[in-house]
Amino acid sequence: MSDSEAKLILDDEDFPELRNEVRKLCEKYPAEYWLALEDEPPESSYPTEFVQELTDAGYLAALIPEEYGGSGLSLRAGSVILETVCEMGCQGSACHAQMYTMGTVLRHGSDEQKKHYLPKIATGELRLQAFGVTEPTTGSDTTQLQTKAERDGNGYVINGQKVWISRAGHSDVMLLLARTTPKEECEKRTDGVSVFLVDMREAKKDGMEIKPIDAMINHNTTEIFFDNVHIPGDALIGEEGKGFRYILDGMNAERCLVSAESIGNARFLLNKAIKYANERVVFDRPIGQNQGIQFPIADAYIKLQSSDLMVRKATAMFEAGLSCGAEANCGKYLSSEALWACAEACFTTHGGFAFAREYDVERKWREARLSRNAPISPNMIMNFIGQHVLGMPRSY
Amino acid sequence: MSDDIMEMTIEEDYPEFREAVAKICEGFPGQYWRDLEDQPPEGSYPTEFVNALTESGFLGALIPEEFGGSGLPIRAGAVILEAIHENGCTAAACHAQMYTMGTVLRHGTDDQKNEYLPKIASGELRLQAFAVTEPTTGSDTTQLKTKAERKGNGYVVNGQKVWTSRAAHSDLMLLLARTTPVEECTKRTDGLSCFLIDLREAQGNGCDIKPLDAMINHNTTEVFFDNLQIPGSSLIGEEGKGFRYILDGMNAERVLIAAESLGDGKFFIKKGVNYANERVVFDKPIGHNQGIQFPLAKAWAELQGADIMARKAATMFDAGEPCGAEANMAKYLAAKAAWEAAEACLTTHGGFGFAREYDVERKWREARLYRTAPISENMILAYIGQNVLGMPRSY
Repeated sequence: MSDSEAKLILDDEDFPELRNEVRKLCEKYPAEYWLALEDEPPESSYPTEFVQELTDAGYLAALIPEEYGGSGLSLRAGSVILETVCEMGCQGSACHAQMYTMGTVLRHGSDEQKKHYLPKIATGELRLQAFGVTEPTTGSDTTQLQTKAERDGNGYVINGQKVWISRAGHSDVMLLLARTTPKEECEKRTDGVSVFLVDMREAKKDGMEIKPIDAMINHNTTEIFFDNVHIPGDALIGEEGKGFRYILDGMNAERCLVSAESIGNARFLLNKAIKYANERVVFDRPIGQNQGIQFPIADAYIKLQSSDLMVRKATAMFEAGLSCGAEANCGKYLSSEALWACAEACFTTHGGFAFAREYDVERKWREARLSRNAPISPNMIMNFIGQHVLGMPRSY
Repeated sequence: MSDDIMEMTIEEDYPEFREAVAKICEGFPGQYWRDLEDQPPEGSYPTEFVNALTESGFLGALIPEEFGGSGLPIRAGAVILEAIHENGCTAAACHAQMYTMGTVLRHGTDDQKNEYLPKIASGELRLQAFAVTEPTTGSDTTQLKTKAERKGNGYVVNGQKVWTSRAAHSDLMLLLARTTPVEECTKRTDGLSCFLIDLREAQGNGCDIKPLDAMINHNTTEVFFDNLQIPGSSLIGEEGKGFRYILDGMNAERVLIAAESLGDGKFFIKKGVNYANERVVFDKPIGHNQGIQFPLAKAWAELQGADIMARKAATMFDAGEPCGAEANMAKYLAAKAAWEAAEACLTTHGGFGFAREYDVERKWREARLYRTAPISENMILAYIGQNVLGMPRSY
């Protein structure tokens, strides 16, 4: 444990200049832009212009240290960027990975790997926004993943399958978690998997196939099939067999960032709900005058405010080098539930018009549902809390 | 109140209908409905499915035999719609064909009944558009603004409707419009009239139908009236009594829609339980975990409760008893239970709940509708609070 104190800023708007700058950028990408993308087939549904502009403005390099060409900002600053993107009705998920997936390279890569990749990721010249972990057969049981990376001369050959690999169609390199030691030869469940940085441009020519998944939301997500894909030895990050630990120590930061997106999405929906409740007049008065409309909004606001504090707490602890698994998971859980409360209140408040695409309520409502599922489900968070924080037996 | 004891069935009634509907639905699996969602509005209507149901005669279930229908009680109609939804299909595209005619049946002239009902029963004429809701007045139905003004022997219609589903797939439309200005009415509920519009004549002649791009494939539209001329014979019943006519059809509608929600609930529970039993993670079926099992069990219990209320409402309706409270409660409870089941099913499927090919997310989106339409949860609570429990009007 570090001696530093964890401090969180209580102002509703911390990093106000940063927020205002990001808002200005996002104003150029209103609802129509996002609605139009939803009508496109997978090949053209990615918000390329938006992501490019965020990249050019340097926002996606927020968490890369200055020595590698990034802005070297704090986790909280990165969170504020993503929160603001979502608050403005834009999508953070299209590019948030570019902000943090490099963290594994930063923390566990060799100096050579860091010098080679990080500056290019900072400028956006190289897109590292695909994270190949989840598999269709193993789901939440990450350590049992089956994709293999077997030694082949100086390199490895990959065989297996991944699912829900978002943005794979818009990434140049991918962080891949694959098994290098067969399960039977491992002492612990968490041993035997390794992390690789895969050059996707090369891999696509050598047995790697990316298939878009047709999903309920525009998440640019894919299945990836590896059929004897060869990768060089220097694709390995850190030591063989320690991959799961490497991934784990990035999880808390990710939870904080994703939670901040949920907070931003919740604010977008809540603000819309309040506006409509005040403007829509039925039975001779604004519908917000009815407690049946007003109370769900107020309740959602309360959940939003308290979850925001938990997320800020987790972020502050992370920045101070304190162990923050409990707080990061609580923050993820609470922010997702708060987001859903805001989404539902907004949807109900808009009555029939919630279903009309042009009102732009149903888009973020559908996306809000995902936050209660990914990147970790509420049930898995409760398992973690129940077992590791509260000391009850493992239930699964 | 009648002196007779009212009894209702608690078994799986009309099993022959349930089986027949299940067979029809087998021909329209998930892929059919998914493909329709990818079509532009002109091509998104489930024509083949609606034809199959029309040919089966099920859409004429509630029309009396003297007019060519099956003359069945509302409970039979409910079972048919429930079975459609239970089997993964969506009845929204054609349920109105079953009951919108009710206003003509109860309040039309003999001429109107003889002219229209047999053709509606056979499907030769589609009456499945019901133009009531307006964009500016929403739930405050009696304040609707679309006018029908006397002109010679007929009327001229001006105004706008929204959420008029299936208007582009209907030959006739039931319209609720104002015939006496609000200022000249003593009661809020006066001054509205019902008309049966022939859309084949009206479209392009003062009546324009615009598809509404919505979150679900509901074939819904906005309808614009610009000096549409309609004959005097379009009027159903008496001028000024239209709202009352509409009201007495509402209970039937609530019972039928509740049935669709119940069917949805059964669909979700079945899918959720199957997946919970098959999907093995952490070396066990995920249904082994109470975090997965209990939400499904809870939703099932809620569904069973809603089902009994829906049967009660249908029984009272068929016995001619006032059943506003029961019909509204049935609608409320069924939509809520279906949503709980939808949520449990989506959660159970984890990430795959979001993959279109698993057919969970489509029905999940559709299940959200019935918490808003045809009447919202809040409006039902306001009705119960005021008219059943005797508290002051809150709005």
